[in-house]
Amino acid sequence: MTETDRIDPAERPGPPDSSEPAATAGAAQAQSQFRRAWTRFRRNKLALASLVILAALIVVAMIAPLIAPYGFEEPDYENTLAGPGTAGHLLGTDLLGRDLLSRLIYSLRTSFLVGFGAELAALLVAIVIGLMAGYRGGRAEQLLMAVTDVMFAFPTYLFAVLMVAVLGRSVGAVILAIAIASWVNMARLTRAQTLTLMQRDFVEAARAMGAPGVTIAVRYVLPNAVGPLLVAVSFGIPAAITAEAGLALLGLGVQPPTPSLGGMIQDGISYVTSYPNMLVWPAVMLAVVLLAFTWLGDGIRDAFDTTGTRR
Amino acid sequence: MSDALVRLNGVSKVFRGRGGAVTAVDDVDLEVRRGETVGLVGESGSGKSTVARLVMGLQPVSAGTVEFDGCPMTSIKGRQAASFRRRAQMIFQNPFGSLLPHFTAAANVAEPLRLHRVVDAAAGQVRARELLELVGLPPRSAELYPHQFSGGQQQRIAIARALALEPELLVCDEPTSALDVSVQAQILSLLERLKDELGLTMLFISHHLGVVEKLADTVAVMSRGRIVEQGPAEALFEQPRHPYTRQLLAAVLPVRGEPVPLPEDPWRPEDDDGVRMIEVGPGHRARIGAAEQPQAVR
Repeated sequence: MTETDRIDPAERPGPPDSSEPAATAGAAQAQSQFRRAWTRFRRNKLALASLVILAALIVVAMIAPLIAPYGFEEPDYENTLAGPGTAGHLLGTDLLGRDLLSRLIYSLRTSFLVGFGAELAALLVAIVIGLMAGYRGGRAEQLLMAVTDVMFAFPTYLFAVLMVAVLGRSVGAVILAIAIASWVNMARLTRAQTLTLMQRDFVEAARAMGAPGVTIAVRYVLPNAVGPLLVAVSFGIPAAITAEAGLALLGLGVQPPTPSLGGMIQDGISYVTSYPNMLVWPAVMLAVVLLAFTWLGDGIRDAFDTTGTRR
Repeated sequence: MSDALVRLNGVSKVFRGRGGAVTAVDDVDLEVRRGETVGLVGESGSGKSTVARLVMGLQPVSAGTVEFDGCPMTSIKGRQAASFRRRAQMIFQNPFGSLLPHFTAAANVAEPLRLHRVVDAAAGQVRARELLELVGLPPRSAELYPHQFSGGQQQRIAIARALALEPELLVCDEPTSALDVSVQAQILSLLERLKDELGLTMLFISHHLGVVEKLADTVAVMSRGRIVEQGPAEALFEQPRHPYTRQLLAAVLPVRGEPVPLPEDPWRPEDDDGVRMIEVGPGHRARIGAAEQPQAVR
């Protein structure tokens, strides 16, 4: 067994005179992988701006009832289909005179809930099964591979549609449907990461130390897979939001009158020629959210990539 | 002979891969006595690292037995395995790879203590700092992460970690070959110092004879999975009996002057097929067979 071919050049420590301060330099600061990633991330202005925008939008979504001028199903029959700038309705109103700004704020809430909820649920399942499949192989791996094959044979959207048809159109049901449709890829990523990390010397060193398998998998391997998983999540959340929007266009999104970005777009499409602002606002908002997530994901990927974390 | 801490009896290891079976270790007998350092030398692919892994129980043997303190390793399970883990520790070639990248130096060193529940977390931290000091790292290094250290410092952390459980046996698998020459010397003198201070028993694996000479009491030379010569370090270096040992010695480049010329007709591993180990001196054995016995030493 030759040792040399297992050493990834990226894992080699830099020479003592590299830009990274060596411990001998004196006042060296502790640098965890996250601190290093954050230092790199901060230099990426686009990603940083995306993070700020998303954080702001998330705050807006969380405090929606406080800042929305109206309720999301509060009609104003005197001002139906009002244009933007109408007194009291900054972005205008829809067919029933519901305030578009308020609906937009509430729909952000729904969309983030669906996006984060579905991705979090998928992540939890994916980590457990992916780790087991990667570390132990055996039954977890067989299960994962079998499910993966089924999922690949089946279009994801169709699957989500079927799930919604079965589970209903509550927010929880939509989250579940999207999570079930999307955990497989995340589990495969976790498995691949685990397999790669298992080749690293610290796994063998841990065995020599007498660490049990669970400890090695959860305490040593998993934390080193966090970077790539974080990237996958930051691309997965917008994918889930898009999935909900897609379901909404098919009339299978979150049950009205609860607004979601997809639901508002679907409402707006019917009036696109006469009252385009009903379509424009949610479409722009969706685009902003998706773009911000994409740039954020790129930023996270670059931040972790240069640290030598393999993807 | 009863003071053998580790004894390998006719140990073989065969790896079965897609390209067929490879015999990495072939019928190896080896003994590491308490307080002794055994150097195991050989070129890349000679099976010396595999011997280390077999001794550590990281891989099962294909044939033969590995005994630790009189107990055959194949039969130890559960609690006994845990106690074995405490008694034998290992240092690896690639110090950065073998340290946990997301743990600080102190956390890395304290991890075996945590795993074996030797002490509580606070005491573990204190002990980790003591150990880091023992291997010559400044106290402020405790909170730094492995990538912030140089290769030599990383190996010091790995040594501190291996010593945390106060093992009886320390297996060193090429601990210096990934390091600069000047750093190599530092690590070697550290190991030498620790060996004297702590009375360590070591199995020291290296492809570098000079490194082994500095530390080992007994040396075994491996080639193609077989031990071709073994004996007390002095006798082996003074009077190498096996042609391969001589070749290895000749391959050590002197700092000054001309290197020793390599023999014109180099020895090949196949030459040893069917040749038995014979006693050539007190505790000194070589795979040269009876026929070559009278041949004069160069």
